[in-house]
Order: sequence, then C-alpha cells, then structure tokens
Amino acid sequence: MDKRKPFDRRDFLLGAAATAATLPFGGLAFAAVPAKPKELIVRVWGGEWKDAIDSGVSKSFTANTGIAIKYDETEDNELQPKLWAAVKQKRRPPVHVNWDTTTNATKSALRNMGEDLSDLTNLPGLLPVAKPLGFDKWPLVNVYSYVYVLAYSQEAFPKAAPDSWNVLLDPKYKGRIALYNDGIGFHPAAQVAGGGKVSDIPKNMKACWDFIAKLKSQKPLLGEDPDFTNWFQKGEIDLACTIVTNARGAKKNGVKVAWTVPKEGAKMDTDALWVPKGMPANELYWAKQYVNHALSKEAQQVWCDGLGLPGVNPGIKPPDDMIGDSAYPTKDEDFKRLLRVPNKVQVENEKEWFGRFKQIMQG
Amino acid sequence: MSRYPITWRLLDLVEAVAALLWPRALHRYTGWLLLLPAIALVGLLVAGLAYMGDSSLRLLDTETFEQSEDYTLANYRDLIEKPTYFTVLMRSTGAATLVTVLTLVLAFPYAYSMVRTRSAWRRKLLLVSLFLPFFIGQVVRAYGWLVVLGKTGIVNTLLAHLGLGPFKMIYTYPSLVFGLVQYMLPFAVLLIAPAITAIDEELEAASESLGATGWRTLRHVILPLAKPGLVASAVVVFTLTITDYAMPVVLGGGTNDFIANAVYDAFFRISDNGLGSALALTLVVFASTLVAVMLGLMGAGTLGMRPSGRGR
Amino acid sequence: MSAPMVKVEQVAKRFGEAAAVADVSFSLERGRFLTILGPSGSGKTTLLRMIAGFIDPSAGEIFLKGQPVSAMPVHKRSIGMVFQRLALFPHLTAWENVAYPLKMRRFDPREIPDRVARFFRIVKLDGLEKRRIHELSGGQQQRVAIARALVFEPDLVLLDEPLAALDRKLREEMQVEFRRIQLDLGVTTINVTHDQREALVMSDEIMVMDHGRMLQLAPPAEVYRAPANAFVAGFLGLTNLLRARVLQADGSGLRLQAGDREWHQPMSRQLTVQPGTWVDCALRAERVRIVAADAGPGTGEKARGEVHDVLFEGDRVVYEVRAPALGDAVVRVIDRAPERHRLLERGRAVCLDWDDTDLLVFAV
Ligand SMILES: Nc1ncnc2c1ncn2[C@@H]1O[C@H](COP(=O)(O)OP(=O)(O)OP(=O)(O)O)[C@@H](O)[C@H]1O
Ligand SMILES: [Mg+2]
Repeated sequence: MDKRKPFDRRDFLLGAAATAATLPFGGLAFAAVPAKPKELIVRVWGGEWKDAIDSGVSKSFTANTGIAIKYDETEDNELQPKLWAAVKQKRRPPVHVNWDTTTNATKSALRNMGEDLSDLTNLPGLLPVAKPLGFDKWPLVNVYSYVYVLAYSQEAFPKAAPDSWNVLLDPKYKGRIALYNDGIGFHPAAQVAGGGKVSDIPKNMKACWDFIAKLKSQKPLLGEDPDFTNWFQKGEIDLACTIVTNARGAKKNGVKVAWTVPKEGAKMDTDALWVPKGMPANELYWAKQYVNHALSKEAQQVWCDGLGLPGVNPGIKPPDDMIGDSAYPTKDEDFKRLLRVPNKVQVENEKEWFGRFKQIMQG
Repeated sequence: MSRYPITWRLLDLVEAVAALLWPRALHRYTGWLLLLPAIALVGLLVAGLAYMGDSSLRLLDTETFEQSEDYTLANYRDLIEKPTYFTVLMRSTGAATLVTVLTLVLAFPYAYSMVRTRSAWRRKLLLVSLFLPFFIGQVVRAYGWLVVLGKTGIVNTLLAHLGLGPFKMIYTYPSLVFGLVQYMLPFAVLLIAPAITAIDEELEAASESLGATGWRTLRHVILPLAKPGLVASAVVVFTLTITDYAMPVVLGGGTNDFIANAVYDAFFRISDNGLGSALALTLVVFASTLVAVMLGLMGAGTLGMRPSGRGR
Repeated sequence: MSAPMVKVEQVAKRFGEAAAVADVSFSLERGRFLTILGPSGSGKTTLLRMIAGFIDPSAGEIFLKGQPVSAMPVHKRSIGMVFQRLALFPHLTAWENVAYPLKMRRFDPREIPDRVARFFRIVKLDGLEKRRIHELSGGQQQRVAIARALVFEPDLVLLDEPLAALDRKLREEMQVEFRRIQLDLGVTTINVTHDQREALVMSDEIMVMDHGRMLQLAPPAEVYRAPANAFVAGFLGLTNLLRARVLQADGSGLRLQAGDREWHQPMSRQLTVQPGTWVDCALRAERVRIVAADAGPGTGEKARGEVHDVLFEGDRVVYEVRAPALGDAVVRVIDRAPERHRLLERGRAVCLDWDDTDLLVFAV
C-alpha cells in the first residue's frame, strides 16, 4: 500500500525548488533572457496525470521563473488536428507544450510540426530511451517509459498473480475484462500469447489477431485511461490490460488491485513532450525551458513518482511501492521481459491495426 | 388628466430608434432580414459539407500524415469493403429504429395523460418529472445510470439485500437502448403534447358514442389526428439517436459503437480526415434518406375506407 | 306492454357542491321527439350527457328499453349523438365520417356503401361524399353530423343544440328538415335547446328545466297554454308578469290587488293561497287587446296607460304600455294584424283589456 501523503510530497518539493533555483535558471540570470510571458499553456491528461506533472514540474517551474502554468485538458487526439491546423496556417498554436504519446508526437514530428529541442541543456545526461527514433534532431523528447501490465483484482486472484495473458480467455472472467478501446498496448502481448513472435510485427500478425478474436467472445469492456481506475473501483472488472499508472491509481484509492508482467512479457512504450512551431520567440524560449526543467532530476523524481513510472533521467529513485516491481524496469533483465515496437512501425500501421481491432470488437 | 403609461413611452422610443436604423422604405425586405441568420447558418453548413466532400476524396499518407493532392474514391471503397462500418451503420440504424418505437410508445400515453388530465396538480407533476432530467445533460445522465445500474450500484445493492444478483445491467446493448430512450422521452413528449392539445376532446366522445371502444378511438381518431406530432417526434428521435455519440461511449462498454463514434475515431484517433469525412457524409446521406422515406410513408393512409372501397 | 325507450329515474348530478341536475324523472316512448328547454346553465347538456353515458349520475338510474345502463359503456349504448360543435372527424371525408359508426359497430362491409348512400340522400348531400369536412359549408357539415348519428339506426338520437350556431334562416330550415327525417325514420329523439321556437316547432313533448330541476313536461301546446309555473310561463312566448297581493280567497276565486287596482279573479284550477300573501300573474302579450283611449267606448277596459314604445316587426307590432294604475308596470301587447289598423304612436293614451281566463295565477 502506498502510504505517502500529499504533504510529504510538498515538503520534498520545497527542497527541490530551492536547489533548482540555484541551478539552471541561476545560470541564465545574467544572460539576455527573453521577456517572460505571464503564463504557459501545457496540454495534459487529467486525474492522476495532471496532479503528477503539476507537483513535479509546474510548481517548481513557477517558483523559479514566476511564469504561471495553465493546463489544457483537451484529449491528445482531439488537440492534434487543431495543432496541425494552427501550425499549417501559421497561427499561434493553442498550447506551448504538448504532453503526448510518443506515437502521436511522432506523427506530428513527421509532419514537421515541432520545434527542435536539440539545445536543451539536460539532454546529454538522459537514458537512450529519451531520444526519438528515426529523426536526426529532437522534434520531441521521451520523458518516461511505461508498461501495459496485466492488472487484476486481488479478490479474483487472492493467492497468486495470473502468470499468463491467456487468463483473459478464461470463461470465468467473461464480461469482466477490459482493454483500451483502440487496442493499443495489447498487440505485442497478444502476438506472443497467441504463439507468434514480436519480431514478426508488422509483417505477420495472425497470432495477434486470432488471440484478439478469441477475446471478443469474452465480452471485454473497452475504454480509456480513467475508465480502468473507475472500473476496478466499481467492481466492474477483474482483469485489464492497462498502463500501470491507472491500476496504481485505483490501488491508491484503496481498491484491492495488483498487476503483473505475465510470462509472455508486456508492451513498453513512452510518452513525450514537444513544443509546436509558430509561437513568438520569447514564448518559445520559455516553453523549451519548461521542457528542459521537466527533464531535470529533481522534477523527474517527483513527476515520475506521482505516475509510478521510470523516468528518462538516470539515477532517480523509484517510489517505495514500485521498488522491485516488474512494471518498473530498472535492470537489464527487467527490460528484456518487455516487448517493444518501434514508434515508426506503430505510426505507419496504426490505421490498419485500429481498423482490424474495431472490426473484431464491433462485429 | 390621464397619464400616458411609461411602458408605452419606452415602446415609442424603441420604435423611433428602429425606424432610424431600418427606414420604412426597407420594410418589404424585413422578411429577408429576419431570414438572414438562418440563411447564414445553412450556408456555413453547406460550406462545411463541401469541405468534407473534398476531404473525403483524398487519401491519408501515413509517412507524412498529410492528405493526398489527387482525388480518389479509396475512402469510400474502404467503407464498403471493411465490414466494421456496415456493422456499425446497421447498429446505429437498428438502435435508432428501436429507440424511436419504444420512445413513441412511452411518450404518447405520457403526453396524452399530461394534456388530458383534469387535475392541474397532476399535470404539473408530469411536467416536472419530464423536465427535471431534461435539464441534466445527456452525458451526466448517462453517468447517472452507471451509478444506479452498476455492479455496486443502487439497484444491485438493493437486489443483494433480497439475496439476488449482482446482475450486469450496464455496458450492454440493452442498457444503451434504455439510456437513449430515457434521454429521448422529453423531446418526444414535448413534440406530441401540442398535437394532442389540438384534438378536440369532443371528437373522442363522438367516436365512442358512434360505437368505438377506447382502443379503436385511439387507432382511428386520436393517432391519425396526432400524426403530425408523432411524425415530428419520430424524425427528431430517430435522427438524434442515429447520430448519437455520447451514449455508446458511456453505456456501450466500448463494443457498441455508433457511426458518430467511428467518425470520431477516424478524425481524432487515427487522424484520418478523409475517412472521417467519408463516414460523416455517408451518415448524413443515409440518415436523411431514411427520414425522407419515413416522412413519405407516414404521410399517407387514414382509416383505410374510401367510397370506392366496396366489398372490402 | 313494451318498456319506454328512455326512462330516467330520480337522476341527479353534482359537481362538487353545486347540483347541475337535481332529481329529474321522466320517460319517453318509442318514436317520440322530446325537447329539453331551459336557460343557459340549467343542466340540459349534463342531463343529455348522462343519458349518452359520458357522465355518471351522482344518483338515480337511467333505463334504455327497460335495461339499466349505468354499467354500460358509451360505445355499447345504441345512441346517436349530434354534438354542440358537431365533432366531425377532420381527417376523414364526409363519406368516411358517415361510414365510421357502421365500421365501428361491425356492420356487414357489403352493406355499408348502400346504407351510407341512402343516408346521404336522406340528408340531401349526395355528390359531396368525397369532400373533406373543411370543404363543406356550415349547413352541409350539420347534415353530415346528422347522417352520422342516424346511419346506424340507433334506438335514440341526442341533439345538443347542434343548430345553435347556424343563422336563423338556415336554422329554421334544418329544424323542419330534421323533424321530417325523424318522422320518416321514426327514431326516438331528445333535443336540447334554449330556442323556444325550435322547441315548439319540432317537439312532441317539451321539458322545461331551470337550475337543474325539471319544471314541466308536456306537449308544446300544453306547455304554452298551461305553464306549470310563472317561470315556464315567462320563458315561453312574450309574457307579462305581475306581482299581486291576495286580499281574499274563496271557492269562486281570488280578490287581488296590484298598484291601485283591485279586481276579482275567477279561478279555473285549484290554488290554495292565504289572504295577505303574494301571487304571480302571467298574461301573454298576444292575449291583451289594445285600443286608443279616444276611440270611443270599447268592449271594456281592465287598465289604462300610455304607449311607451312601439316595436314594429313586420308581421306583428309589440307595444310597451306604461300602466300607472298597475303600480306603473310596463305591459307588453302584441298586435298580430298591424296592417288592419293605423299604428298607435308613442305617448298615445290607450285602454287595455283581456279575458279573465287568460290571466294565469301562480303562487310565489
Ligand atoms: N364538468 C363540470 N364541472 C363543474 N360544473 C359543471 C361541469 N359541467 C357543467 N357544470 C355546471 O353545471 C351546470 C349545468 O351545466 P350544463 O352544461 O348542463 O348547462 P346547459 O343547460 O347545457 O347550458 P347551455 O345552454 O349554456 O349549454 C352549470 O352551472 C355548469 O356550470
Ligand atoms: Mg349545453
């Protein structure tokens, strides 16, 4: 159980802010610093996610710079076309910093929507996973990784964690399992559980689709991040393939939920921050400073703590409840159990995969 | 001395100002002026449709996530070839039909007793119970059903006290239909009520005295005369349902999508404006065709007796 | 002996405190035409609707052909009704309106067209079958409503002032027309009106109502000549009503006083009144004779007066005469043959006279 109280986090934060003030921004104080905007707008996901970035990144940023942070909670997928339209029409983009899935951020980068972040001072020290694949420059930066775990209700599995994704096919749990409504995060796991190989993605995914087709007869619920937390809390489901953060959210609310990386492995993915093109130079400068700050050890420590996810800044301490957790990879052997699909493959096949998944699930 | 009321003075003032802004010579154009907002709105809609029409003919390039320069029917071919879209279209249509029938069946007696009751108190009660949920938006109401009908919801809790259940009552197709009917009911009642008000009660008495039972009076007098209201509410309920987005999301459990959900997915989830536009236009054409057919069918036929109908 | 077509026994209807109909009893034989006559609000419609079955009586019982009908729903009663506002079905044609009761009463479908055609001929509407209701004139609509109420040959037809909305000429035509049809078909009919002329012209019997009570039920001539009370006398025809005081009462008659005048009133029927009480005297305007005071000695005179107003109506003249001797009462006089003499002008001194038997006396 997570016993941390909000005030603990706040205490920590004060300390972090104090040190931060002396470091990156202190250095800039004597240079010709561009005019500070009154506020920056950052797109975030709600719930757990917003709380985490607020206490981890924004509060200390505001303390250091005096620039207020405003949040835009528009769904990432809904904001995307607006951002694209704005950049294309050379209008000021609706947000300064976009917190996005790496897949979506890659899509935008392919369209040349993002500013280059190569000159951020914190980049050199980061883990290799921070660098987006398939680009020379840094049109986005990955900020942490996460695992699509098999989350389960401890009431349904009182003794031991289920050890295989095949448990989803057990008739006992018919109508009590849940997936993302676009199937995201599940493809590699299904591929392996169905007897295929991850390296065959995207060429031969028969094993994956057969497995998902079998799942359909189990009448799964399909939803988005907040749904999983909610469904566990309301006792609607016993099993779900979801990002660990959501399961952890339910657990923090006192629901008996645990998670595991089954023997077949689980998909690992990343989220990113990027800065859209088209804003005035001074705002661009400070938006990049915000991203830079988000990559600092201090900010990452609190932010990723809140999410229960491993950050890209090496040497941050895992939260107490995630130490030794297979969904919080720190060691090489942890990483070996996780399944990865390059973002480029993902972006190029998303439409196709999405169509296949819908075809099975809506049939 | 009789006083000239202050409100009249104000009206005079308003008229004087209006005369300045819109001189008498222009009065024959007043009708057009009043139509202007409507024309502007329709114009915008047409422009939007044209834009979507153009977009629907361009293919998405997944390398750059830009739309193709040249026109193609590939998106429409996709709609025909991928069974998902047909399934979803049929689900929307089926649900819209079912919801329309159920809503009218429930709304008609409701509207009838609301209009015909002699007790002002009961009429108010019926109106209030109609309007209270009306003021709560669709999404909030749908979430309300989750609270009421969920696994740990009120109904299952009560049933548990009786040693029953728990029953799965949400995230299913029936729960979706139920939620939609409940949402549509006020619209239907409000459209049917004026039609019933317009029927002289004496006609019902006359029908009975001519030998018709209550049912046959309903069938041969009240329903035909209330037809304008019934048709109007059928059209409204049908179009609102077939184009609905929120109920399938909240109550459908993710596996009961309507076309609007597919449109949303195409636009926002896979960033494919072309496919989204093609889907949206298909929905517009399909739904308007159905409504036209509905209006055509329901506009004809009355008692089924004609002077020429000898020996029928 | 067969039961009367309609029998109403001590029927009453209260709406809350107020009694719309109070203790009405009567019966009506097959083929008869009864008119219920009374001022507005007297309970006519209420009584009619109780017979039709739209309203349940608060007390009493109604019999049709000897059968109590309080438990019989409207559509089971063999009653054709013509409504005050006609209540024709606007969504149907004239033909469909008339065929409606036949279809509802499950007549043999092969019989329906001929029967409908016959009734269109009876109400003289043949050729207009395919018209919608709103494509017909007021009088034509009336005829459709009548045909619709009669076409299934009900035991009883009820008319709730259907003619009231028509202009006078059309109304009088329809009155005659309906009476002809009613006699031809021999259908028992109850008609409601507050038009006394209509009642007198059409009916076999007239029932006068006031304040929910039945005041008199008798053939038209009897109701006119021998009204049961001052109200009935005043309601039918043009009648002078005069309050008088009883000075003396004995077997031969009454000694009455009104204003300065005292006279002996022979009585044809028994009326027990005490000296010192008041009575109402009713005198039909057409029973009063009027001559100019300077025309020389006439046959006699009951009162003198002065012409106060002259209403020339073509076939008759109504004089209003102020008679100081009768407590300054205004006496109305009808002269039915104005073409035979010169009209008396306003201000003229006149003598009034009438036969003792024409003065009707009612206890107050
Ligand atoms: N539904 C009702 N509720 C309360 N009072 C009523 C109702 N119907 C009739 N009344 C009252 O009963 C009395 C008789 O009404 P009714 O309609 O029978 O009169 P009517 O003789 O037909 O009058 P009219 O010649 O004006 O049609 C009236 O005082 C009327 O106000
Ligand atoms: Mg009446």
